[in-house]
Formats: sequence, structure tokens, C-alpha cells
Amino acid sequence: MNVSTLLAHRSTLVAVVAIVVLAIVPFQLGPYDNGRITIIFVFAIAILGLNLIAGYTGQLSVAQSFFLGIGGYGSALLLDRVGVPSLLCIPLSGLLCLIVGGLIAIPVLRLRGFYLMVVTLALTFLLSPLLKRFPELTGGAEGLSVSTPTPLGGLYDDQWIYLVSLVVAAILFWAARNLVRSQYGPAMIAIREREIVAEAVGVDASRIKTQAFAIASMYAGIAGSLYVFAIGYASPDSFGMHLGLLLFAGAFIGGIATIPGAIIGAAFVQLVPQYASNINDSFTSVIFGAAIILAVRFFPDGLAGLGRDAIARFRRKPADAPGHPTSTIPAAGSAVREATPRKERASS
Amino acid sequence: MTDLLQLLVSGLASGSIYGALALAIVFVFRSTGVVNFSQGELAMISTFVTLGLYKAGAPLVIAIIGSMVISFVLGAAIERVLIRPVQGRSEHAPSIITLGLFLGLSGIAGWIWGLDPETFPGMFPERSLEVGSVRLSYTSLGIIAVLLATVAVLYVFFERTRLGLMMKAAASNPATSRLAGVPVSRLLMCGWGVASAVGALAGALIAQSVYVSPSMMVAVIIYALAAAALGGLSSPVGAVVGGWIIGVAEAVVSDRVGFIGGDLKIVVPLVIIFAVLLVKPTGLFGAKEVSRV
Repeated sequence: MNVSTLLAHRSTLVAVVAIVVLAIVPFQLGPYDNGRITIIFVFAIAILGLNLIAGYTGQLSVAQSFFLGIGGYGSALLLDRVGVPSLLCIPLSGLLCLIVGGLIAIPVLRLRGFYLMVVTLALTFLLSPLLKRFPELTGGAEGLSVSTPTPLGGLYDDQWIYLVSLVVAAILFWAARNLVRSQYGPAMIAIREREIVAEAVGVDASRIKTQAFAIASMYAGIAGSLYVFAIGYASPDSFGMHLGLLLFAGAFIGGIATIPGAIIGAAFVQLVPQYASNINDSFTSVIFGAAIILAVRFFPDGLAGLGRDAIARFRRKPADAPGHPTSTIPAAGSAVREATPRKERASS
Repeated sequence: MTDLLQLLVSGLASGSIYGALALAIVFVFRSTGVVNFSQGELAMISTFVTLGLYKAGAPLVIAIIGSMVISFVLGAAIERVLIRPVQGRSEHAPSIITLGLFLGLSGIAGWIWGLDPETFPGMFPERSLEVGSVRLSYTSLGIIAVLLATVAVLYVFFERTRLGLMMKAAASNPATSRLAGVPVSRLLMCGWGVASAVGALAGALIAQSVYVSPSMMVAVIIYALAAAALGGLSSPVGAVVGGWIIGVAEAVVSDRVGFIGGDLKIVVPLVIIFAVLLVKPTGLFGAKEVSRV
């Protein structure tokens, strides 16, 4: 393998190094910090799903927290009531949300823009009363306590769930990257930019939108499953409108329609409230509100886009420098770039 | 039968509250083409301002009018500073900004006024009127009356005044209107201002039945958005009728359908939006939307 091939696989290299470093981290930190980083992985998975449906396909859904809740409760129930092994609960709740998301998507995605936002916002209001309505199943307002998966090989609980979340997140990031680089990527972007034109050139818009929504829900479901394992309980009020809006804001702050943006956005959603609450309980909302407004206005590719521009400027490569054709939708520029097949760059 | 009539009345009263806020949403949409998700939070801030003026010694009516003026300025400023720069960038950018405002304004209110609920002075006598066996409280009647008066004023404004017509023109086709000498930018600001003033009035009505707190609008806004969507987003009459339909449906369903009860009544607007939009995507009173390729 010569240097140029290595460079062509730069992002893969970066990812592998990052995963190795992150895999060492839990043995250096205490349970508290491990728990915090685990939740960043969890939110990153949920935001990644949101990037696929909102960023790439352009269907703005605020309902990611709803599916996080379905996945979380699904896992808790599968574990406690059915006795499914905990590691199997994770893909099963993903599957559950894939199905539920797909079913909800069929009517919901007939709605456009604003209507879609209203209905998905209403879904986030629905979850908590719905869960409390069946207390014998869901534990009502008390919620359900969930036993952490039994660790392998003498690991502590927090290290184990950390590593499981890391592996799951890595797989899902890899899958999302491949998805947007496949023929689906350009099809999703075409739907976002001009749905009628996309259909005219043969993109089956309603099928792809439904699939993207189902996949986004699956990501949220898996995230919800990991979330309840990491926290140790499922509470009906953890997955409401507030989390939905924070994840939505996190996606835009990190960089909607960018894959690395999901991690940055997740870190924002996890870390900012902890520091903000030192100042005032309401400060989190102020920061998120201000950040999403600033992001949409001044850096539509999010913090990930800012970072990329800074690196490009540092390297003085005019082709990547800022000033790329601005698109009609935040972050479309980066999305198209992400969707460009890697082969072209490798061969040049 | 009496029970059903009683439900109808209480449904109309709460529906009028949704309709009042929906009216503000429709006003912004009509004058700027943006759906303002933060309309409820803006109205909440206005309500705090009203309460502040009232506590400072102003009579309630003066406090409400004062708050409407302040809200007008606030709304116009938000349009100018936050919405205008991203308008035209994408179809969704302004809506995302208003979602940011939704979060930000609730945070700011919590920061300034704290999270403890406060009571709002009653605007109407606390008695009720007995018609047959149905009890009509003056508060419900008053809310409905204020709402109808507001719609009437807005209707006359949009259909009969030069300013209103110019605003309609500015929203539906800014470029052409500008060529025809319509001061489009100022009118867009004006649209947000008037909507916020209507929101301030809606806030005072809503505060007749809920405590004043930063979260007072969180539940109401979903119903108001549903009412606006039901009425077709661009019709003030539609917003009010939409609010009534949702209010009555909510009252009847939560009373009669045991499974839904008081807890799950959020299902009602959800189902209604679905049903209407799937059958008639433009809402009950909306104009047909033509999509350009």
C-alpha cells in the first residue's frame, strides 16, 4: 500500500485511529465520565439518523425522541418481560422502530414541510401520556428499571456499555456513510432539493422517503436501547419534546447532512446542559436557541463545516476553500460532496 | 343532551383560545409566508409583560394594550433581525429559526421570571349565565366575543384597507409588489408585529384558564398549530373555525371516549390534522398551492 492509497483512505484511517483511541479511554476514566461519553455515542446515533431523514432527504422531523423512547421501552420490556438476552435487545429494538417508523412514515410523509414538523412535534407530546396509560406494562410515571447487560471478561458495567455503544455507533456510522455514498445518497438529496424533478428523473420519492424515515427511526431505536442500558432505567418523561428539540438543534449545530456533524452535535446535546445548569436551569434552552439560530444564519454546514473550512484554508487548497456554490438548503454543499463516490478522488 | 351541549360550550371556549393563537400564526404566514413555531412562546413573553404592567399599577385593559404595543415592536424586531436574513435561503430556514426561538424564548423567560407559576387577573366577571340547563360562564363568553371581534377587525383590515391589501400583496409576490411601489420590507416587519400583538391578546385570554409560567404555551401551541393547519394556514376565519373544531372534538372525545380520557387528548389534534390533510391537503379554508418545478 503506497502513500497515495493511504491518503485516499484518509477518512477511514482517521476513523480507525479514533475508534482505537476511544476504545482505550474507558480504562483510563471513572464510571461517571464513561457514562457521559456513552451518552454522547447514543445521541450521535440518534442525530445520525436525523441527518439521514432531515439533512439528506430534507424531511424535517422533530420526532427522533419519540423513537428513542419506543426503542428504550422496547428494550426494557424485551429484557424484563420476555427475557431476551440484553445484547439481542439492541438490534431487536432497532427492528421494532424500523417497523413502527415505516408504518408512521406512510401517512406522515404525505405531509410536507411545516405540516410534517407539526405532526412530528405532536408525536413527541404523545409518548409520555401513552406510556403512562399502560402502567402495568410500562411502570407508569415511575418508569422501568433496567439491568445493565452482564459484562464480558471482567469489565465493569460502565466500561462494558461504553464499549458496546462504541462498537454499535461505529457500525452505524459506517453503514450511514455507505448509504449516502450509494445510489441512495444522490436520490435522497434530489428529493430534498426538488422532489418533483427527482420523480421526473425516475426517483421513487415516496418509497425513498419512507425508507429513510424508517432507517432514521431504527437509528433512534437502537440509540434508545443503549440509552436505557447506560442510564439503568426508562422514564416516560426522558423522551419528550425537549429532547426532540435538543437533538434537532444538535443536528443543525453539528452540521446537518454531514456525518461528523452528528458526533459534534451529540457532544453539544450531552455536555452543554450540564455546564449551563450551573448558571441557570433555563440557560440550556437559551444556548440551544441561540446556537441553532446562529448556525442556520452564519454556518449552515454546522460546526463540522466550520472545522472543514478551517482545515481547507490551512492547507490552502482553493478547490475546497469556502465560497463553494451556496445551495438553497443549509449544508447541501457538503452533502453533495459526501455523496460523491470516493473512486473519483482516488483515481485523480 | 344537556351534557353534550355543556361539552360543546366548554369546547368552544377552549377552541377559541387555540383559535386566538392560530390567528397570530395565520397572520405571520399570510404576511411573510413563514410558519412561526415560536408564536406561543412570544405570546407567553407578552403575557408576562402584561402581568408586569398590571402589577406596576396599570389597569388591566391598559396593561394589555401596552403589552400589545411592546409585542408589536418585539415581533417586528425579530422579523428584521432574525428572520429576514435567512428568508429565501431555503424553504425551511425561517421555520428552523423559529424553532430556535421557541427554545430560546422559553429559556429567557425562565431566566427572567423564574419557573414558578403566577396567577393572572380575571378579565371577565366570575359569574355564569344559565340558559335552560346549560351553564355559560362569562369568561367563556368573553373569550369567544374577544376572538370574534379580533377576527372581524383582521378581516376588515386585510380585505378593506389599503395597508392590508398591500400586506397580502407583499407576502404573495414580493418582487412584483416592490416594483408596484409597495414598501415590502416594512410591511413584512409589520406583519410580524401585528401577529405578536394578536398573540399578546391571545396570551391574556389563555391566562384566564392557565397559570402564567414559561411553559404555559407548550401544550397550547400544538393545538394552535393544528387549528391553523386545519383552517388552511392562510385564512383567519379558517383558524378560528379550526380552533373550534379541535376544541369541541377534544372536549367530546376526552369526556366520552374512556380510553382517551384527559391524558391522551393530544391524540385529537393529531388525528384531525391527519384526517384533514390526507383528504384535503390545503386545509378547510386554504387556497390551493401550486408548486413550480
